[in-house]
Amino acid sequence: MSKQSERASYTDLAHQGLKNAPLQKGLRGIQQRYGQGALHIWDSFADPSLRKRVKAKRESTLAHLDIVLEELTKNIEQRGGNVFFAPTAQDAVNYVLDLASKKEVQRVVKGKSMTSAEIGMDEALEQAGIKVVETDLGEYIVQLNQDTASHIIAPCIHLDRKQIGRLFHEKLDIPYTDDPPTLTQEARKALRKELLSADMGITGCNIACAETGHISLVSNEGNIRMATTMPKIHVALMGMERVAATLDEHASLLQLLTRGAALQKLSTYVSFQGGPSEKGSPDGPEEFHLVIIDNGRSKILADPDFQEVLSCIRCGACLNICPVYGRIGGHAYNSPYSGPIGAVITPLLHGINNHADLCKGETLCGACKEVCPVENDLPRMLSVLRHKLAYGDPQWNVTPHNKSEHRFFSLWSRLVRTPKLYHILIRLSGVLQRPFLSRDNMVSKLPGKFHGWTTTRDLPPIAESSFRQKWLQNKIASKNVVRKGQKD
Amino acid sequence: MNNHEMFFNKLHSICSQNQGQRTAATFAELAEAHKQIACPVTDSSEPIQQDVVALFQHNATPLNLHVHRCSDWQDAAATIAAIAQQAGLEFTAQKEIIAHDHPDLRQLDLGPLLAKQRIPFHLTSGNGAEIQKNTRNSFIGITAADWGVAESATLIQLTTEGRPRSTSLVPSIHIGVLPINRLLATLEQAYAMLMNIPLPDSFVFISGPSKTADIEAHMVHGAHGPKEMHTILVDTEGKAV
Repeated sequence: MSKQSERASYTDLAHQGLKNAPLQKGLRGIQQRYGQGALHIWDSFADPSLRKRVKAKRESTLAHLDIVLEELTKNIEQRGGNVFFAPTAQDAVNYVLDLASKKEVQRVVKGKSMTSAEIGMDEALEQAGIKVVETDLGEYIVQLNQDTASHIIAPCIHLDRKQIGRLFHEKLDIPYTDDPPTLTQEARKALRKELLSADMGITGCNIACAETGHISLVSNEGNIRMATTMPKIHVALMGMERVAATLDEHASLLQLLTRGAALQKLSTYVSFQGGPSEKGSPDGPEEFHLVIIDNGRSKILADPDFQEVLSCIRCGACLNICPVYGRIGGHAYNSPYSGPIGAVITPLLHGINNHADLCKGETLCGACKEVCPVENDLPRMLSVLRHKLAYGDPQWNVTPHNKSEHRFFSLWSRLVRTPKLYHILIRLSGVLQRPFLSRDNMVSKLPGKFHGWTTTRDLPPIAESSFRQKWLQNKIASKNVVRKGQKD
Repeated sequence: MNNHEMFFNKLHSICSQNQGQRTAATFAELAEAHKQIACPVTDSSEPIQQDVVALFQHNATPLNLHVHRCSDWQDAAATIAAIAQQAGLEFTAQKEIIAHDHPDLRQLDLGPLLAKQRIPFHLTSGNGAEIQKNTRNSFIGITAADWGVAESATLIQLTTEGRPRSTSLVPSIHIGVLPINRLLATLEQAYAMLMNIPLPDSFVFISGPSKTADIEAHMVHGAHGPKEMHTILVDTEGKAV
């Protein structure tokens, strides 16, 4: 977002992640349980092509997104709800700020929303002098720690119970404890006050349903139900693709979402909101505002290479299986969206050059595609991003990312097409490599710009005689044997 | 051009370019086309169970949801009174109970029963501010559910007059009451019910007590919603749906 210049690099943050012991433990736990678990559930489906059909429906909905959102808007407005379309993050933020100022809002409670992090909602409200409290336990811990979430579903996976105990001792003024039930109870007490007294609740939207005119939200804690029931105003921030056309489609997406996210048939609460509560109701919001956010999504929708990524339902299953995320954690991705999905969506929303490391950091092993409930081909899209970074792309304002690498590979390409020159050079390199060989006969340190190739791995040396030479020698030798045999 | 027109015009021009998948011109056409692609989510590992009550109970156990099967409304009322007697207080100094003002729950006739335990009993009817106050003062909230879903141990509740949302949310303990003839086997069947009625501004699926595993994946019940939940399944004259 706006903090590009001051942020630490992908490589530095990845190294920090690797050294963070609580994070490593948390990542191992979540990957062993949830990543494998989701794969197991997909395998257990009575109908193996189910995910494909859900995906087909999802893509059909996206191809009719104008019609679908019009239906959603019509149905919500009929119940007295407000719908605002925000072309940019700033438009969405301004809409909420204006509303908050008009209604003299002083305290906001939030339900976990990545879209709100994407548009910088909390910072903007705080700058306007409004108190903002995250109410999902993980998000609350992250907020107290003045930190950012490192997993889509488990925001504070990088902190262990001792760190959280010290944090609560310091910030909530309670005796130190590292007992999760006690810590949860303390947060429950502190947050209940906030939830029962806030003027405005802000949430995201997991899956809206156009046919009935509702947004739906899943949670296990009940914080989202609180935030949409107790305050007088409910604002839902929704990425414009997060909508099912019909209830039928909603049913399939919901069940894939809760299974993919946490191996649950359903989360504890699935709540549907489609307008303000009826006059005279003892609870529920007097005003309901749905902010539908583009912020770069229409550009993704218009590009056949990437429109598939809008099928994503943000379950986080790809984080739970990715070998790269599983080592470096979420902070390295520099975005509310981490893991394989983050490596695709973050560059598309916030600039491909700006986040060039992300698509190159992933391994293209294909695990994310296998575990994705809608079978999004993330490895394919990562490759397309790499291609754009290598050659540039005016449509996405991409400039070739690494000019010297580009020059090197152009030269290399010419070289391998000139066999004579190539063989001379290989033989020459065999001699020139000698000063770089380590004791165990590996190349462990290359000079100059090539040093990056050997920072984290050793390369095998160039063989003294090449395969081609050996082949030729072998051929000559066997001919000699044949000739000898004929003579005898 | 207003906000909506601008947005829809832009989106329309983008979607129109997608000739491969764009087949419908209206929402009705799209909904019809989607009907042709059926996607019921079913696990083959699911035990085949004729008895929906047993299936509900089976799926409730891992959710820490207590299920009570009651032979009639009187039995249900006695079960609730017993829960009220045993359960401890969390946020308040004395025991009070609030219940949805709904025909099902009126049959329970809980008032006199709870009076024996000196527990003030409120219904969610009348003045809104009064209901709010009573809800916050209550340690148990009793709700009337529309349907139950056995495959996920879920209660589905529509928010309608007399059935506010906070009754199942703010008190420490939630008791959901459901006549067995409204217990369905699958979520798919429940969605089919929802498709056939005009839906209110709010409804909710509830599967067990509130929980969190945000601290080192350690499961704790009672994050923000009720820390304890009971489902009372009441045998009724009518046959199962």
